[in-house]
Amino acid sequence: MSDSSETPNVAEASGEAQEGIDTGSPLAGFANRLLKPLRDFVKADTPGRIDKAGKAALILPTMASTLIIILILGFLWYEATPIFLDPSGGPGIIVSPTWDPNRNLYGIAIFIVGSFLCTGIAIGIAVPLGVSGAIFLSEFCPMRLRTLIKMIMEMMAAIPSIVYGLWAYVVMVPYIRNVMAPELQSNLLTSWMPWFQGSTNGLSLLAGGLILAIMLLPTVVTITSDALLTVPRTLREASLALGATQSETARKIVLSAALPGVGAAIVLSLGRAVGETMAILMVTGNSLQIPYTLFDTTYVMTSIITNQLGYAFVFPLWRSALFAVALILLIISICFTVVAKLFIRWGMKTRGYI
Amino acid sequence: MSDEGQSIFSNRFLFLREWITNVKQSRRHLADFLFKAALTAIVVIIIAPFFLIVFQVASIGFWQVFGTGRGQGIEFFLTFPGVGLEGGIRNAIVGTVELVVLASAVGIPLSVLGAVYINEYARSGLVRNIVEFTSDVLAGIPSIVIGAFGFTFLASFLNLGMGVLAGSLTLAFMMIPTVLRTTQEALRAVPMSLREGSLALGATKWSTTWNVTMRAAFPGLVTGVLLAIGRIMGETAPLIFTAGNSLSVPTELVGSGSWVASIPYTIWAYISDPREYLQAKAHGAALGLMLMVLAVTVVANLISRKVTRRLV
Amino acid sequence: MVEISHNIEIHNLSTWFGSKKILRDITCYFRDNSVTAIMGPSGCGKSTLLRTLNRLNDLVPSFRREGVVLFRGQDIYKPGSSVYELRKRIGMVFQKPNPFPMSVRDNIMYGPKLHGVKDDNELDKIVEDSLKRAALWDEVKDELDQPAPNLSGGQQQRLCIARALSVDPPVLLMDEPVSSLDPLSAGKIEELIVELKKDYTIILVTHNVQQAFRVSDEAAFLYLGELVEFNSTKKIAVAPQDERTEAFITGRIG
Repeated sequence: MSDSSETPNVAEASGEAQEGIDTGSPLAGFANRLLKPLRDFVKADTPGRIDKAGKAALILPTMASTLIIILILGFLWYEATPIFLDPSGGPGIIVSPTWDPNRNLYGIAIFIVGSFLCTGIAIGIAVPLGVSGAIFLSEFCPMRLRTLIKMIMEMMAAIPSIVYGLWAYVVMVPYIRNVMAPELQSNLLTSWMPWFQGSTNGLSLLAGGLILAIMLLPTVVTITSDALLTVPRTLREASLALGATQSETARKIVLSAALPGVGAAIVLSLGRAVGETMAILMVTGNSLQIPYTLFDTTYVMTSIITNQLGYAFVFPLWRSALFAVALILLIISICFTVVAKLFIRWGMKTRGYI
Repeated sequence: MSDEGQSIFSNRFLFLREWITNVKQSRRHLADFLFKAALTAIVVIIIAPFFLIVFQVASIGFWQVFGTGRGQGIEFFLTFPGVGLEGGIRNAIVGTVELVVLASAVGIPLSVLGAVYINEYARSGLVRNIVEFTSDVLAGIPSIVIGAFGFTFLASFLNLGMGVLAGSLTLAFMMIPTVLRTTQEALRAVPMSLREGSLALGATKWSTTWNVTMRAAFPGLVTGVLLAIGRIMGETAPLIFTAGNSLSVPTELVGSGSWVASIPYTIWAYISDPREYLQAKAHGAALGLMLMVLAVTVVANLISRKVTRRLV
Repeated sequence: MVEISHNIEIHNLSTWFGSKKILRDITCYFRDNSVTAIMGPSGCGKSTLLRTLNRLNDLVPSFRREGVVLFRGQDIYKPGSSVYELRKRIGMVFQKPNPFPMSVRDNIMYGPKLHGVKDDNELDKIVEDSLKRAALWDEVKDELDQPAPNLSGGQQQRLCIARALSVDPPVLLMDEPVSSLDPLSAGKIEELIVELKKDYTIILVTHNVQQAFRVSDEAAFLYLGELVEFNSTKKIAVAPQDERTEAFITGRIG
């Protein structure tokens, strides 16, 4: 390059200095701010101009994800407005249990309940198992075996949800129908439990919760074990040197030190659980009722959109109600992302990491 | 210091104290052992579904993919579905490839350029924080919601209609967060001294970024791209309302001729069909899809592992 | 003459990591209520020796050992003896301050709780006692619930000493405890070590000759896994018997 005085760093530095000098009025300062890049561009030599033009050209792609989020929020809001403004709809649809497009009834409570029950079951299974598995991987597992298991976890995480759905539909659902339900309902220990009652064809809340748990496990295990592995070895040694057993060290020191990461993993998997579509759709039976036992069929928020948007798009209210469900899903997922980030910040602070 | 001061009394009952300590200790030993045993069992439970799924899909899908009968083996991949959906799934395979290629063509440049800006150029933390936050939010949005958005924004509002363009753009939205974040990680891992070395020779930031920094970060970028491709290849939900379905391949980008099938959508359609040969075809398609996705994932991981080793 | 007692004795100790021999046939006694410095160039096996004394090396799968280590006359590697009880009785302070990422109070209470202390008053007393012994009480008594990693480096290391003292071990192992600290904090900790030897048997690993001379009563020089010389610090400082020792303390090797 011929002229080294025009490298971007130097140019920026001198530009800032100029800005500091002539700010007579706020307006002039603002205009100066706007014009400065242009002036700099004209003054620069060719490589400098390419540099500045390139930088300017990067701004649009940079804003792509932000723009998409704004568009998604805007369009879902726009599509969902009619049902919230219509007399037959209104915000009350969130708590109303009757969904019957033929009678213009668009209560979405059963879908919300269904989604949360499925998610609850899945998280209830996946988190304890996943965190335990992660502790095994990071604390007690030989290096080679850990590499192998992590590889399997990565592959499990990569399997498309439609394949999980296929397996659940052809293997798990018949298993629940033919083995699990009869077994649990005849066994003296469990047969009286209210949540194991009812006849079932296998398509059930339980099937949805189980397949969801299986799908979440690899993510929970991977993120959690990564978080555990970043805990410095000297902390483990300090605990052992005080006479702790390995399992005490794992639970009380390593898990506690990695809690921000583990918590984030859990919240993120919550978000994924609520938003999971294909596998759940195929195994929960999709009937319009609130499930009272694990063997009842259920209908979740993602399923109603998938099943009905194709028919509904010419009926304004019906379509709008489905977009309202999508909007709620969107808001829930944004909330989970925010909570995960806040949780990490809180955890880092109380542990003195930041 | 403590033991020297033992009273005669406690010395006389030393054996008792020792015995109590032993019981307490052995309880802790036992707890330690049980904890480890339980964790081992749990790990077995966690990875079991992987083998069950692979076994199920492979045992039924095997003859579709490797058999020699009608609509099996190579024919399964190379022929279009015929009457009663007999025949192969060429429509779905071509459709998935087209969708992924188009989505990558849009999604990869957007996310890579974005990552370059926030890591190399953005001077205020604000821009970086906004982009990081929104891409994390975007990564967390349920795929069916993205699909619904693609339907209302791309297909209806922009009037693209359902088809290969709307479908691939929807998938591109889903790629952005993964590629952006992994590229950003890769760029961050490039040592500052490398950039300084180039700048000190009088290179502009622009040429330093593309000729030095990006070259060093390239393997990381490839990992991110492969992971993102592996993910969108298997997506069904975003395509249901944006790509349509078709028994042949799309002949145009927009309009009724642009409807396109995909492997995941085909699996869904076939498995929901009671006809037994379609169930077998669904397994075959699932096996093919899984092999493709797993291959992409394994390659991505190998690259990223190699890179990590080189940098450490 | 006062009878000299030894909490820890080592007889013919050799250790290996895999096929690599780290320590070669070491025999020595560590005198009670005094500071014994183990010095030597890096890689000579100082840390390995220290970690053999509280069996922290057991965690390394390739670790192997021959010879006997006695703690109060008992072989610590005897099958069936409790490693957890042993580690409770032999405290350790590490090279870098490694406070647990929790509050100052929880850091101190961790050990006693493990070993069955449940009473809150007793725990509070242990916290205060340990911090006082480690000369940290006055600085942190008002911020016991702050995260420990927020303390300064020197304070963190004194917290780690307090944490080791919390289970009341007669022996304290210190693995280069000041090497990562600034001179001022290091000085404070050296003073503390001298103060602590009244009540504890302290074994201090260091590669800093001057520090060994400042704080220790006896000194051992370890070179390439071999115990070259073991004598009172004064004698080693004034008239080292072995030429390798002399070379090390005059700075020609190490």
